Amino acid sequence: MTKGVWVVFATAMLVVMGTVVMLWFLLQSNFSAREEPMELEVMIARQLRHLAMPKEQKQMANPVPASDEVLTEARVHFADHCAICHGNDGRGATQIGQNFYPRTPDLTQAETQSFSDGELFYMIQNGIRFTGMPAWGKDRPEADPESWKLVHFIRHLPRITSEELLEMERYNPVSRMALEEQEQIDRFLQGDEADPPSPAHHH
Amino acid sequence: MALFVPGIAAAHGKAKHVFGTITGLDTAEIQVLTKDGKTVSIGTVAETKYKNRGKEGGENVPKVGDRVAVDVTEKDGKFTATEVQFSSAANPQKPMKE
Repeated sequence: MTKGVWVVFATAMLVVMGTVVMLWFLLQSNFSAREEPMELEVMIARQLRHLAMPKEQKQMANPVPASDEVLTEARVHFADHCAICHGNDGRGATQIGQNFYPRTPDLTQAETQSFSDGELFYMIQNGIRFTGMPAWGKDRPEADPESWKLVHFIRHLPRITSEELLEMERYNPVSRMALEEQEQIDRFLQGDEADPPSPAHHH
Repeated sequence: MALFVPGIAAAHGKAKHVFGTITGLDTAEIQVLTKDGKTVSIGTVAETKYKNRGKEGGENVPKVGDRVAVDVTEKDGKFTATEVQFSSAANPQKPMKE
């Protein structure tokens, strides 16, 4: 056999072996989202995401100038759309966030803060495949200032104050059932003798 | 079991509420006297959130005598508080009937 044939044969064998290992791994885990992703899996996924992101997108600068007004708008937006998974503080310590595969990351940490503005924008616009992160973008990047404002807010997250977090709670989506439950709790705390909310299991 | 104890009600998902009056507390635990006269011990952790619902800008630390609604998770029969909503005993309000 010629050298070229050997290279093709060896490459094919590696692909087959890799596929077998991947299938074995997936079957072992029963496709469950309960497990923590393996370090190797995380590393490969991050590298693939990095490679898949267009270079010009990574290098895009934020066209929206930062200001208090922009941060306020983005804070409300984040509380309404993002906090259900990421938490108002961006740390991902939510029931949904901690049950995703992979877990929702802590946006205040270097793992996220080290991304360029363009990369953060790209992930908001396009989502991240095989995670819980949906694609929010609809228009051309230059026509979607809301996502660029969110990029400013993500940069602000490591310094967010307790006052800002308290304000954000007003904008978190709440079901009618949860609102009624909170009203009953408030009545109880204010001395109402009515019985506390009746036991009823709901999600 | 706890679902059927008066003063403890199911909340969202696996969480439950414990309603009552604080009879004792320290850095690691809160004791709550529920409406049916039972005392429930609830562990607190660094992540436990506190909200004073009785007074805007009031103290954010509950005291003995405050009414509370505590969101708890239960594991191996032990309760851990995720959120403590309380109304300061210093506020004008009706005491809980025993």
